[in-house]
Amino acid sequence: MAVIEYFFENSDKILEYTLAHLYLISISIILSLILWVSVGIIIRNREKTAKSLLGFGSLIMSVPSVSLYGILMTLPAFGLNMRSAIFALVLYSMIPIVRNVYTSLNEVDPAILESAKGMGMTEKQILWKVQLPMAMPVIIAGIRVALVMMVGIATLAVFIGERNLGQLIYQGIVRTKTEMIVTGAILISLISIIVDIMMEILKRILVSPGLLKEDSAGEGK
Amino acid sequence: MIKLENLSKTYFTAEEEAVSDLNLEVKEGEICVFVGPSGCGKTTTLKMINRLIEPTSGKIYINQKDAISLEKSELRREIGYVIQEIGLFPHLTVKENVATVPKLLKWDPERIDKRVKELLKTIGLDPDNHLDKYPNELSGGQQQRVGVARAMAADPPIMLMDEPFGAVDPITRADLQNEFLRLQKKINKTICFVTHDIDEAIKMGDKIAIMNQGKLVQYDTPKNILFNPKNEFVEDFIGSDRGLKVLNLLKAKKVMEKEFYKADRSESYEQVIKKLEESKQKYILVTADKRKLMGYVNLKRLKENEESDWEKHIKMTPVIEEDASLKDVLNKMIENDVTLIPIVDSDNNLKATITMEIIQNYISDEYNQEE
Repeated sequence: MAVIEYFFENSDKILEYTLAHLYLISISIILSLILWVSVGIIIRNREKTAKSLLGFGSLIMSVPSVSLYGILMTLPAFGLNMRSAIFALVLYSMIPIVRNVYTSLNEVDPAILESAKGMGMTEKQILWKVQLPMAMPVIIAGIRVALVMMVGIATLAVFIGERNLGQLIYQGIVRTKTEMIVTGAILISLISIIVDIMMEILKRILVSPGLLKEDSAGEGK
Repeated sequence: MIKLENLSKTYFTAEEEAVSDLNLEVKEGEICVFVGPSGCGKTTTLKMINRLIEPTSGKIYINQKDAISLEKSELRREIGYVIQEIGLFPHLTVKENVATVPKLLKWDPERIDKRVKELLKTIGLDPDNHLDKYPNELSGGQQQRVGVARAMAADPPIMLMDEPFGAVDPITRADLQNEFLRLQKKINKTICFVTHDIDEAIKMGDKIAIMNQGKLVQYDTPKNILFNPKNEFVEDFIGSDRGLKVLNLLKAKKVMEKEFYKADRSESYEQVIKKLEESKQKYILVTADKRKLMGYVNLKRLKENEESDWEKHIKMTPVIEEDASLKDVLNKMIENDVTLIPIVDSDNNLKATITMEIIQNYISDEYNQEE
């Protein structure tokens, strides 16, 4: 009950935190998509570049987010600023997006590429009309992972001055106010779940039914 | 027309030429089958024609035009291409798959629509049921048909087919081959066809190009290849069962019997029994409306059950079309354990019959003549 009471008494603040949280995630995912999908496409035929880039990405992934925030904060170009948070989130989403774009583009059946080429499609047409649509399920899965991760890591950005839902948990702990912690935790989980559902809907819109049915229709062959 | 002049291909890594100094001409409307053991250069040759593989030297002329001077994608849009794995786009519907090249050529949507429907009918798929299906909803044979339709979509004068029927089961393969031969009579394309199966080569080819180690060993009609093999390699490649191979060359329509006993379901029980006794056969084929084949009835069974509604004893029978080779016919006979197969057209009208005995006689005649 204390949670509900707290929620209604502080609804203004909670709304502000929620919006800040969503704002941070939105900016980060948009930047990530523009950047990392392009990178994935550019490196699709460059195995060596891809390997070193993905190696670098894994390295970033293994740095704990609090440490990364800490490091960024000390750099003059970033500091105690939203820029640091966005930069960190974009870096973390590199691996799930770039890796999925790269591998799914390369996993397209060579026979399909050969027939596309044999029919007189140009490189560009093959990429846009064959490879990307076929890679879409895996790319969306990557974006989904990146987004859910962002929701979580954004929470920790309170350590570098972000005022988002992480504040509820952080301050709740500092001030030993359980209802604050619980409210924060529930809202963050809720955002995660909603993001997940939204990605499922996006998948149904963007992915061709011919690719979705693959598992169930396999025995028909 | 396709003309290859001194065509060669050497890969950087290999010492020997993959294809060496190939000269060959495929006349308009002919099917030329490239056949040979794996690594003989047949697929390399095919892929040089649409320049998926660039020749090291030599010339390729397609209807008098120098193919090497043309822009690659433009050249390919003029050449139908079918491969063993089919390579249908799984994310596109049957309609969108077939429309690929017309779309690249920027046809207007109405024309594409009309063409796709017409093509599906040609390959024996009902447009209303199949236009909006995805490839994974089709059987292997249907996918292969759509693959062929897609290659023919923009009505290219030339088709390249790389083991197009290699991935389907033997029965479907024979059906697809027969269908394709019937289709070819209508469309009259110039076709290069690659296979490793000499039987298929004999059946499909107007001309056969036998290749070995990158070289053309013999380029001739199937009949000449069978009866006048140029050297030991060709002989070995044909195999010792030349007599059986000849079966691939002979069409059912050459030996079928157009006069035979049949009954119609409008006839009475007595009439059917009388016909059966006249024919001295144990069974008789039954038609509906004097044309459509329904099946056959067995004399013994009819007699055991003296009834007026004899129709219910009609049994299904395997059928074959007149363009099938005698090998297909024999295969079907053995599979179904019968010695007679009715021949029907595409609308299931009963046209003739073919029996094991008549095939035997025909083969021995034919074989003796050639020897």
